[in-house]
Amino acid sequence: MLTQIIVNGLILAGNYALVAVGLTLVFGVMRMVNFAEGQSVMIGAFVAFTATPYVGYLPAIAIAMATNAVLGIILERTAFRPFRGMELNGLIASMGMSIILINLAELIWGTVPQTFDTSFNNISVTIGTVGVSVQRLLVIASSVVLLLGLWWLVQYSNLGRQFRAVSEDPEVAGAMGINTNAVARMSVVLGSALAAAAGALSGPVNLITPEMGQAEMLNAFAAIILGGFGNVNGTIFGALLIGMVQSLAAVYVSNAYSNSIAFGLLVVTLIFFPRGLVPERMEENV
Amino acid sequence: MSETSAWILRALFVAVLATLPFLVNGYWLNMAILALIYSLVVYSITVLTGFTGLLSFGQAGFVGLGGYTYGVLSVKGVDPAAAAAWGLLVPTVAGFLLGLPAARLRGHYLAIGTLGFGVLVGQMLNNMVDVTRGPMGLLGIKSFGFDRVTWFYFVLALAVGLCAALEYLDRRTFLGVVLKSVKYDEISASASGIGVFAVKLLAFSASAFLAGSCGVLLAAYMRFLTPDLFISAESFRYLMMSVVGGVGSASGAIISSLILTAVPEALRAFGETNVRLLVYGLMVLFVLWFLPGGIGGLIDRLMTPVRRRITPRPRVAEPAPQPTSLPGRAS
Amino acid sequence: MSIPMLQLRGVSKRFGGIQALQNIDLVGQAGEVHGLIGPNGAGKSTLIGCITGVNRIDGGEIRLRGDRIEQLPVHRRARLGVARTFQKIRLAQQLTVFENVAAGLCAKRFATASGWRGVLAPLSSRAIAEPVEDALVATGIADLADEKVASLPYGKRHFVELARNLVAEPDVILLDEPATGLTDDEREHLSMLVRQMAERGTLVILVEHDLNLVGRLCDTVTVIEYGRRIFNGTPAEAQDDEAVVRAYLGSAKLAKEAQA
Repeated sequence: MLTQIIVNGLILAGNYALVAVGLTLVFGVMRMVNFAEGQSVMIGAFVAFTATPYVGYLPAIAIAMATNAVLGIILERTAFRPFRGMELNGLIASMGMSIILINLAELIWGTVPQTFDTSFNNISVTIGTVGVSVQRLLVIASSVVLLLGLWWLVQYSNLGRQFRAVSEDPEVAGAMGINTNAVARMSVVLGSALAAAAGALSGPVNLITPEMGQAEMLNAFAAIILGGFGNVNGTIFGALLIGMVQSLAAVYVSNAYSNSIAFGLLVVTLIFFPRGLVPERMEENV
Repeated sequence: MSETSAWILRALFVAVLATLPFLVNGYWLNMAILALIYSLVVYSITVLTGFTGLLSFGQAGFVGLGGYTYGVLSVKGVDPAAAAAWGLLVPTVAGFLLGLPAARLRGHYLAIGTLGFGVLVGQMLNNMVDVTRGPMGLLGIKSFGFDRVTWFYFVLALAVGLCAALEYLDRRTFLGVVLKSVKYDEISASASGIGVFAVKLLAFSASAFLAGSCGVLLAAYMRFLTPDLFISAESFRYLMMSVVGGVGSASGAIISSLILTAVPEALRAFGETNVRLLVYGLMVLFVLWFLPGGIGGLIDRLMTPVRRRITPRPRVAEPAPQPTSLPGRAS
Repeated sequence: MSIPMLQLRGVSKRFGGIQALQNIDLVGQAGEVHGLIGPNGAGKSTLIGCITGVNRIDGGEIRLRGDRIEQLPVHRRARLGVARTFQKIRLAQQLTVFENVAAGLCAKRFATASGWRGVLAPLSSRAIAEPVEDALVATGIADLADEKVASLPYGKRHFVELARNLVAEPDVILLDEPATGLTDDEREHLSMLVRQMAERGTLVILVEHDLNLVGRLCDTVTVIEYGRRIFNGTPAEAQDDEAVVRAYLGSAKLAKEAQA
């Protein structure tokens, strides 16, 4: 039972973390919320689902990430760049893109939930007394690898330094010769590609539907808020917390309430910590 | 545009709406009624986000509370008027209570916190099967006993009246200035003696009241409710209506709820639902690209602002200042 | 002697590990112009924040007309008659000058419990328009009443902020570097306004880098350095005070002497 709970919790956490760090990245760089991030998850899952029969599962994940990178460029152009400094408009524009993507997906893949089967689903290993499918372990492992990769990128690469510079102060970064538009585009591209990985990885564990992105994103939001907006480490911590709590709730309370519990946790946290568990930055000086 | 022509235009707009029952069939009249009912929840965003600068992703929660309170009570046999009163009271109190923690949250924390509230209400309506009948839907809600045309004029009067009241509040009253001061700079607002927390609580309660009234009307008009009507996606749809209308413009709000309700219906000619919604999404994007201030911004640009002329008033023999007679204050 | 308008006793404030203010005493009488000077980072703005309530103090007491106010939130102190301007001007940029100044009326209107009753009054009603227009005329920005603040040059915004304070007829007004970025004419106008306020019995606390202006306007000055009060007296005395010279006029003057 315990193994089951931990494995399920980690799967959820890994997923939420991948989606949430994408959101955090975009928010940090542009101060905007990418409401279409959930749809990137969904598109990623479907692209991988479509490509798997032709190229195999693992290459299909790469294809999904590449497709979503292109989607990221489109998103940045349509929903973010026109609305710099008008956060609410950008938010609504990404909601508009969200509607467009869901309906495109329904036109292409239909509205019926589909089973995304991979060969890894059928192999299982025994941990303690329970059998866990390799697919599930793959989800956890890949999430960790991708998150570590992102962490390295943000911390040590040239691009990462630019991300941090723009997050700190876009004007100063621009004055120092950083192309803020390119950095903003890269943040959406990376965020979208990570979401694709989340979709392609978790798709085989659940069913895939064009509506799947919504719930995924709401939970990622909860993780971000718990962790503190714009803070990658906090976000991962928040994702772990939400994933584990949901996994516990699914077993001990009821599946129907798992979302309620995540958001209840969120609301209670905000009552006591109005700026998240890991506050973003100090109060402004008057 | 002069003040007179602006009034003529407003009158014309209302007049055209008022003749709708003679112009369109029952199907479209039904759509118009729904659009006008939805304008109330868009007004609730006008008050909260437009005037006071607080973002909410959970308005559907208040609509749901209002609708289900009315619905459940009316099914239990409570008189519609009393049920409606409860349907207004419950969301207002919920808004006040949510405001207590939410007034301390800023920006996106507030948005996601209210989203949390919305999700919780949505799930509650779904899971409290004993009370709400959950996903099976709540049937047999009693109405006000209006026919469709009466309904139309009733909600038209309500929507237009509220629109006028909100425009007046926003542009002409002291309260409008108080609310907007909080929106633009909380620190200088409090330095000017505005109790920011109290103002935010007021805004939350008023907004929840308006959203709740939308719910009561929906329940009474449709006489059938499902939790699906109040999920988070609905909150986002209301926000979209609000932004397309120009957040903070009540006139924009009513026009945008009419357009964004009518257009998807008109697009039924395209056949498939997906294509319809695709066009809808594109439309929202186009409005944002080309009208960043929304419909309200366009209206504002057409109107020439009123300009006052101030001439110094002769100072009437002011009493010499005495340290003991400083401006009277409650000290 | 009557009860002072404003009295600070042993006010201390720390931010994390930094002692921003230590044991500050200050007495201001009605009708006085009180200069608050000191080098950059000495804690002047912090002290203003402590008096208005933006910063909660860690020790000491603040009395307004003899009543302790250090526990009250910002808006309550404003309603008791404490007004301020900001070093970095804070106004509602998207609202008109008239609306910004009208907001200043809140301090007066909400001072009593019945204040909420008049909240739906139209902006054109006498109770609102008259005091606002008077304040606009007094500050010389009546012709800008319907302009958005965002469209005004920087200097004018100082006067909008002043008008927003004046309209509330405060008992204490704290001006945080009000002369920054003003032309000579505007500076004169500001001086005149400060004198008028003092004549009406307002205590004006002036934080300013322009020592010339401070010397001309102020009855008393308090000098702080590294969060401590190092001097209190008349501007003339301050010029001769060794500690003040060293601290404030400091480096430049000493450097000159060294050169000589």
